[in-house]
Amino acid sequence: MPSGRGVFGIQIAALILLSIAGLAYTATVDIVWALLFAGLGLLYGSASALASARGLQYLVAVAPHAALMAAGIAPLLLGLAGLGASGSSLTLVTLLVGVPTVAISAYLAGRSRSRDEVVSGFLAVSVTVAIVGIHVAARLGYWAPVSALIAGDPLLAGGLEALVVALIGVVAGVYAATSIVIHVYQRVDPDDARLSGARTYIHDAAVIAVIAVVTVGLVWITGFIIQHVLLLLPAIAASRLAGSARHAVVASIAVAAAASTAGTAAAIAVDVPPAAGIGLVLLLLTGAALAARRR
Amino acid sequence: MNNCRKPSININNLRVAAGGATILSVEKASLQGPGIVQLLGPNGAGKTTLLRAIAGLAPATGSVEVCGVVVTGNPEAAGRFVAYMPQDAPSKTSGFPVTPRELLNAALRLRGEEGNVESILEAVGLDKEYWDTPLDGLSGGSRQKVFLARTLLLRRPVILLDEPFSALDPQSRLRAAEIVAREAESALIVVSSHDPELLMDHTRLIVLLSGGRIVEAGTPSEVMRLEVLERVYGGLVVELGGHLHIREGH
Repeated sequence: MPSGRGVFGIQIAALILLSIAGLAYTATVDIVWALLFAGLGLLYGSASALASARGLQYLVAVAPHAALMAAGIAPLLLGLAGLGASGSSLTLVTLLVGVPTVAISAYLAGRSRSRDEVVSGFLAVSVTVAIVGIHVAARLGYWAPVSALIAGDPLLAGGLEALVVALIGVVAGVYAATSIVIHVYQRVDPDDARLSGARTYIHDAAVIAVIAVVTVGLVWITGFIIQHVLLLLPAIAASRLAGSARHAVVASIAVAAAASTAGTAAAIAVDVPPAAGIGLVLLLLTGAALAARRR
Repeated sequence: MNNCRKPSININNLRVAAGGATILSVEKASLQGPGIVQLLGPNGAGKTTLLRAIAGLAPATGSVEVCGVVVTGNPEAAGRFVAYMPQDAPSKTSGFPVTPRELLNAALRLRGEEGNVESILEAVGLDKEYWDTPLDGLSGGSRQKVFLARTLLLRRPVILLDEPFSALDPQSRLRAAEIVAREAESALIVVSSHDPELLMDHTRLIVLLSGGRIVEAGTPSEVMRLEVLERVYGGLVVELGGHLHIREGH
């Protein structure tokens, strides 16, 4: 019978094989989609591990809503500015509005003693602004792809966007793998992190940046609905499979990549939006991980 | 790392407030090392607050100097000289897999320092099989050993230990106390404990706290007297086998 590490190695190998299979199938249909969803898996796997390691569950709740709000008013802002709406321009405006919103809400919720109240208030505001923005944009006749905002539309990303997502995914993966123990340490013993004199605010900014990118930057591609799931489940599955922080970040990325690529392939095969396939595969993988016995 | 020829703590007009009320008030105190200083007192006496103030972690007014450097409310300055083991070590959880070996390496990496992680884990008596086990899977006692190891690993001239033995079994307590005593040959160790006898043979000074104030300070023979301890602990002090003990439950 293989040892704990041996079992973990087999599990990761199985996830990589699943990713390769999904990637290969998707590439036969559309190479851009294959690149896009591989990068997406890397990004969400890294963000999920980082958020879990730091105990930033409140940010996982807040960031997709910041993305929803920013994306909800992006068509209106573009229309009022007299600019044409396209996948790139929508993403750009969403980033310009959404990233500062994530940063500010993270700061306010993080500093507040009544965090739940701040998060609840922000969720109410973000949903309201998003709905009003979409409604007014539609009344004024501006193009607002609501279904993309809800369920995602990979067609809004071109080859360049897919390449950028893949490259950022690699950077996020490397950052998560090399810094994860520092993030866990900051959570476990914040007093000692302060005593260390280390510039921990750099890691604070980095983790918020990664979460902002995967939510605000990708909301038109993934859709709002799947974002919470993609941020939460990979780390939950990884925590069950792995026995150390370094193994957990590898597992989180492997689970997210497998769900993203195999889920997209499955979605293509049955002709549903990729978000649906990704959600289903992620759910199955997480269920399997929870059922598996950790060493 | 640090430049401290003789470990020392000097306190002047220290005040720590919470919720509008003063929870710690120390006019003047001077602790010189190396050696062990024990802080005694019932719950709420101010032991933890005093340790946190020395580490620069409590918002305070007045002056706390460690190794001649003012560190009041400045953990970054204090951290050059101070290692601090928190009271809640046995209940610390990560919610994400992290092993004792990883935690200790992270403590060193944050400081850009090097140390022998394995030898300190062995010294505190953490079984080797737990070195690579997730923290959340360890018992409270094992977690306490991990944080004791982390604190001693940093090799600081001033070491603050808040209830370092509370979750340990008797055998582990003796072993941990031996290590702390050995460390006190070169460092000033301030220990908050409800089990003062454990380190009594190595203790230079006992500081008795009550209601956020120092009510008595002196050598063990001066402080560990029934009439002195009863002023703070009341009827909870009992004499057993020629030693004074403070009953659990205070």
